[in-house]
Amino acid sequence: MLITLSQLIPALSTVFVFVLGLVVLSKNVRSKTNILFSLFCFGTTAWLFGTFMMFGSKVKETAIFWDRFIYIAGILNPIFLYHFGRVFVGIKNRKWVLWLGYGLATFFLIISRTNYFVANLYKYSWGVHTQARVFHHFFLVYFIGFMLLFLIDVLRGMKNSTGIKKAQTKYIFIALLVMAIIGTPAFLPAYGIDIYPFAYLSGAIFATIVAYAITRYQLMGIKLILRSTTVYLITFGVTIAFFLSLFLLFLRFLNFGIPWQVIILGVSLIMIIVLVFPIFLNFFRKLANKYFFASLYHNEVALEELTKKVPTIINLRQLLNLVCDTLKNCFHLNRIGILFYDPKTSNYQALVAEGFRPHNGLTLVRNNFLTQYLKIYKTPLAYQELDPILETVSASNKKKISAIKKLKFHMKKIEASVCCPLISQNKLIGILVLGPKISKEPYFKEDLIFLENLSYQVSIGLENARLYSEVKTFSKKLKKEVREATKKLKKAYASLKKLDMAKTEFLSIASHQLRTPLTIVKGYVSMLLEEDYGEMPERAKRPLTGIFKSNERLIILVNDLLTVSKIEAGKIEMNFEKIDLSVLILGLIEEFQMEIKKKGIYLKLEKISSKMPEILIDSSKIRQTLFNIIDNAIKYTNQGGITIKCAIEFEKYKISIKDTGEGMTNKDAEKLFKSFSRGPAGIKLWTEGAGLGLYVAKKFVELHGGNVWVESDGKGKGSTFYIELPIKRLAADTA
Amino acid sequence: MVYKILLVEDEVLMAQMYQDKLELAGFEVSWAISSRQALASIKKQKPDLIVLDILLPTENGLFCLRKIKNNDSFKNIPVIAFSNYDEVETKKEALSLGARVYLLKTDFTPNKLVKEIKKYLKK
Repeated sequence: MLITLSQLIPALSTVFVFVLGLVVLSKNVRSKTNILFSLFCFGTTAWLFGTFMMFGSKVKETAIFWDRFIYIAGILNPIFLYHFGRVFVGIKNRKWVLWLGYGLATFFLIISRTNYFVANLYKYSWGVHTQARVFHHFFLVYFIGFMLLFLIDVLRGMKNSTGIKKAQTKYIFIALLVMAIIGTPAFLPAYGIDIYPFAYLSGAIFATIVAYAITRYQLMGIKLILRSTTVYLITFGVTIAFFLSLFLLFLRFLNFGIPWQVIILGVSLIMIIVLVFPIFLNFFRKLANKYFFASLYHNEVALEELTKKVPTIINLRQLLNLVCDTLKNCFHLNRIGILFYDPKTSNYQALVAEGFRPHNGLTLVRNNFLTQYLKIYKTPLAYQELDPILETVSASNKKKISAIKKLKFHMKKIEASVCCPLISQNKLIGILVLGPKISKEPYFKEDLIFLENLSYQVSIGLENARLYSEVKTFSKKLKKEVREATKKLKKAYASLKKLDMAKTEFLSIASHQLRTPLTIVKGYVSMLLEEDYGEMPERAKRPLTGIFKSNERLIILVNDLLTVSKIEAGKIEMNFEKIDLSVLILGLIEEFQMEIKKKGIYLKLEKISSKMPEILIDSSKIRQTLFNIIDNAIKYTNQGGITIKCAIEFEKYKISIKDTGEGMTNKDAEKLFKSFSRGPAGIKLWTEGAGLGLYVAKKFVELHGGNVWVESDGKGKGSTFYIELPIKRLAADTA
Repeated sequence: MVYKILLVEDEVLMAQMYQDKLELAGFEVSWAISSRQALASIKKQKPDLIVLDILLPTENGLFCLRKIKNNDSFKNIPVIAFSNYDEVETKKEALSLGARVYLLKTDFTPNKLVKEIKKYLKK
């Protein structure tokens, strides 16, 4: 059986409109808008299906049945449409019109089952139609009236709305206007007027316009993605439909009913399809790119590229530019903002704010309901979603309504179509603010998922850039602080050096000043004793000798105190020279002759078998060391004497000063070389001396890299003092 | 032969003491209390030996020593640096400038000083 064009179009349109109605209803079964629109779609489906069946009927009664069936849709559709229009644009007054409409529809539904509405069948050039009776005229008034009321309401609604709502309303208006203009003449055959049944095209046109509005403007809250595959299917479908239509046209108007001609035509058409298909494909692709290109953009590619580039960028400005470029390419925007959290002020500062009105508040967003929302839910928020959500919220849930309204308020204030949170370590570190797409397309679910995935990369990148920036700033600050600290240190060092020099000078001057009177006393007393000023009475010699000796002690004390001060201050200077130690020792022995003769003890240098080498020493210091030790030994020896030995042992010059004096315990020996220390014998026998001599001796030897110590077999068994001076080290040190 | 000794010493008591001893030892002693006075005295009467204190008013003894050793007429006069200023650097400088020896005053009685002077006069 051949299907005519007037059957094919309604058949295809039936499917299209029915699917449309189902999709709208399934989107939100609780939405009045969706329910009413779906009812209208189902009514139109019934009308189109009835038309298909009516044109295919061979029997008159069957045709009349199907025409009456069509009128069910024809009666209900106007009131469904009017009701939908009221809900869609938000009209709440004139409810009596609605009730009147439903009342009239009910009346016409009943009356349409009778012959007072339609009767008989009118055959005309392009098909059949029942004939209008008296109530049909009233029906037409009702039909046209409510269609007009709908169109007027929707037109008013369109004028009063803005943004996406305005666009949606516009396309509803256009779709139904076209449908009304094309569809209404379908009743003319009822009055015996021959007219080509192009009215049945209205269903397809209506569905196409509505589908467009759904895809582009999310009409009925439906988000359809026009993927490449969809484009391909549409292209293929349209191509097939187009050529199938051509084919049928040929069959109808050129009387090609012969199978072999059909085969030839079919094959030819297939070849033409293959040739023209790419042209159609290209055309639809371009169309899709122009209006829906964002959907065709490969978000995965953009994300992949961003993921590759982000880790390589540490400069904040570069990163922001990359993110902006990516988002602009993906969504074709002219408004984009990137906010970053400033912990110092606890606000969100705009690092990027392109295309926004100045003073819209984007440059500084305080912690508010919107930021709190983003912090909690951590997902992108689209402004267009808020109204549909608001519609579904029960009027009693005032808290939620208030929250949604606040979100709307904040987003509207900063002209944001989408706010995407940037989360790092569970904290909201920033916000991506996107304006509307230039194409006026809504943000689809896939767009928001893409944004969410992108935001992870952006968060990481921003955090890294921020950290790098902080490190850089810290490094600069540190360098500055180090420079300043170095300056201060240099200053302090210079002051310390000055102080040090002043201390050194003080010690030198002090020593000089202390020694001057001592020198005078020493000189004059020695001259008096030497009778340079005439004969000195014997009686005067003893006190004068006492003065001389005391003065000598004072000189030694002053020398030692000054030496200790220098040692403690690290101011001892060494003057190395090559010395024959035996000569130095012999000189000292000569010095002590008077004293040892008085005490009746001996002081000798044991003969050395081989010649002792010269060594590099500070002779005055070693001389003083030996002097202090020998002097000490003499003081604590009352019988026997002191023997000095020199030897070379393991590359060291070893001098021993052995006495037959008081001796000491090991415990006493340990304390001996400390400053102001005297052995217990010292306290008993000799109250003179400050206890500095041996301390100074030890320090002087240590300055040579040597060692000094004492050994004793115990009290009353004498002591042996040892001095070790390295030979090689000295030579190397002073080379 | 009577040797002429120039004593450069700013401490009066000390200078008198050494002058007394040196004269008793048979020397002809002239005394200057500053470097400038010493240089003037050297020009007037070239001494056989100079006993030179280091810490002197205005210019110190090293200044005087430098002047003496830079003068061809006087550079050979033996100079004994004689001071209670016990700094190694000063000692080194004095010796490098040409002093024969650097003696610490507290180590020497006037008698010992005379012995030292005689040692360097023989040389």
